[in-house]
Amino acid sequence: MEKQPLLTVRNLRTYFYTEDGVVKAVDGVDFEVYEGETLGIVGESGSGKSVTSLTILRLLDPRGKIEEGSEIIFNGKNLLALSDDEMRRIRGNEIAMIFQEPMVALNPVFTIGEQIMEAILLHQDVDKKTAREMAIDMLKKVGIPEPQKRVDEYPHELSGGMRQRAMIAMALSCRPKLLIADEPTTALDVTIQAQILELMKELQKEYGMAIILITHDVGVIAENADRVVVMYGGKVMETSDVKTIFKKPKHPYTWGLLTSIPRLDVEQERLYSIPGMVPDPLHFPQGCRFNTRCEFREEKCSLEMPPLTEVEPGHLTRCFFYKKLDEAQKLLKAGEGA
Amino acid sequence: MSENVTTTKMNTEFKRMFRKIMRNPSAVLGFSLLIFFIIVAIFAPFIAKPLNPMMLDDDGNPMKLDNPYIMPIITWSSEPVPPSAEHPFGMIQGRDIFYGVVWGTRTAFFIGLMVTILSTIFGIIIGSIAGYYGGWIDEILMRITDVFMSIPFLLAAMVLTTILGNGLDKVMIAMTVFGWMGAARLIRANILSVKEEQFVLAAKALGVKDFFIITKHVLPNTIFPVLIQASMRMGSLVITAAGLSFLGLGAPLGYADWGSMLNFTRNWILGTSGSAFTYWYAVFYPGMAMVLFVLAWNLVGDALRDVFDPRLK
Repeated sequence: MEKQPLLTVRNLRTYFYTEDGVVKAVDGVDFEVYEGETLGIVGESGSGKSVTSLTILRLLDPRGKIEEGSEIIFNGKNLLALSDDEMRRIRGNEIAMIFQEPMVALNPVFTIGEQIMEAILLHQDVDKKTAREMAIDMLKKVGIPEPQKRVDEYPHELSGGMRQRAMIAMALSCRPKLLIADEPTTALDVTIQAQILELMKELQKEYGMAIILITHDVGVIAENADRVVVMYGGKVMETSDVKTIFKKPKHPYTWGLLTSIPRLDVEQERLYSIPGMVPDPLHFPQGCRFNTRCEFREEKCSLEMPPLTEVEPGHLTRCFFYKKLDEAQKLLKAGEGA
Repeated sequence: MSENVTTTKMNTEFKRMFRKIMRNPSAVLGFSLLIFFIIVAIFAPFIAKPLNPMMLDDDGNPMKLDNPYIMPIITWSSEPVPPSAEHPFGMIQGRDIFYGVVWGTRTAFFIGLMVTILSTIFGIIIGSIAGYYGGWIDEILMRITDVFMSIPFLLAAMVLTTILGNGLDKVMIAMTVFGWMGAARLIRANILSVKEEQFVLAAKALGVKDFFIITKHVLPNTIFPVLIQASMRMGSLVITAAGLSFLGLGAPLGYADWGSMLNFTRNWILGTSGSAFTYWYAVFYPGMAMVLFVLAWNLVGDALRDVFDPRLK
């Protein structure tokens, strides 16, 4: 039996109408998230991954518009058809979000206890005393020592890792079905990063929630995601389960991303980097958006946009010439072996 | 237990602020002056008894004044009378300057507080709506603010007072109507920067309503500059009110108000020929009260900024 996805995003297009023109930040994105799984969305800055997450919660600033024909189905409900009030009841309650910078994502003038309580009081019918108990409980759960004391501290009294833990406590206080984590560890030390990701994994198991993990860090994806969506220029370039994508990338961009990670097991003289720059979202190149930086580019690439093609069950890529990439990889492997 | 935690927390916070204030001499001066004025205002009936020595009741005791803010006439001398033991600040226009300065403190506080509070509240409402919602709402509200700002404050207040009629209440209305723009602009500018902060987005992501986002998450982070500005304006408003009273637009004749007392001195300000300072007391005491009052508020405003502004912590 096919599992029913918790969240289905279909043909999502979010455009920003600025004075310089229309910025197509997200331009036709499809993916689904199943219950209890972690979907990693990876891409460079400007690829539209953050806008995608904000669009799901409908938190765009007024210049951003979700275009006609976009669909976001969460738990059987079309989020784009809900009223503002109904949407507010979903935010924080069924879909929660944690942010990149724990330094600035907490309000400096309230204690962390007050901020967690705010979330609880908003969505659950409990009195203040119970909410406080629940807040302390949540702090304990996210591994903050002495939660009884910490609950009355202000954000500036906590370290970065502690603050991110407090953010997670806030986001999870209403046991959401889906947690959107937008670069949750980018601003943290590497050791703290691992702890936070570990914590998220544990809580995911306990609560059975799904996570959308947005990051530019391929390593984070490799360790934490079940399935991966690779975004570039507002479009999905490749999507697959995490093992396949790391073993056999079928898109030159994914391959470029993977090759540009430093490796300890192979001696490299110079680290590979994808040539060129992320295209300006005001002027995307004609045809495939990656064609200006692609090493396998042919004339066709700059004329039409390749469709998402299924190369094997569950593995889609937006490339005409993924077979060429296969061969190149084979050659490279052989070279490495020699 | 939680109560205890909060109170001790409040105490340490309070102690920290207190220490900070005590370390700064100008803040100490400001607060001492302000406390002095507050004491004078509160105990005015004991410092300068509201009695009329010219009107005696059946037992030969001076009668109580119907309205203590109207200074009683206690001498028929048309010239100012120099300070004496009985009238330490002297007399002018038949009235005791000491009495006027003491009761004028209450008037000053009343005018300052009322106008500041009303105009600040009005400014905060306009400014936060404009800043938070942006777009055409912002555009309309800010253009209205610009129109109000383009009219010179003193002139506008004078014209409006003349239209409304004389009286302290009219002066206060006029000063409120033309005094809210600073607060509105300041709060709008602050909101524009705070609303881009991630914690506002985080609050939205939790499903907090717009109203609570403004009042709970945005305003507390923007309010301090406005409060500091308000406390600084407090002093200058008293000067403006005094200016209007001096021009004869504010308080009625004989009202215990520093400005109208200066109005009395108009004919005597230059002294007599050959000695300019003959009537120095007529100008000095009400003027000094005003200067110290303004100074107190300015120093307090500075001290508040140092202590409260979370970014300077």
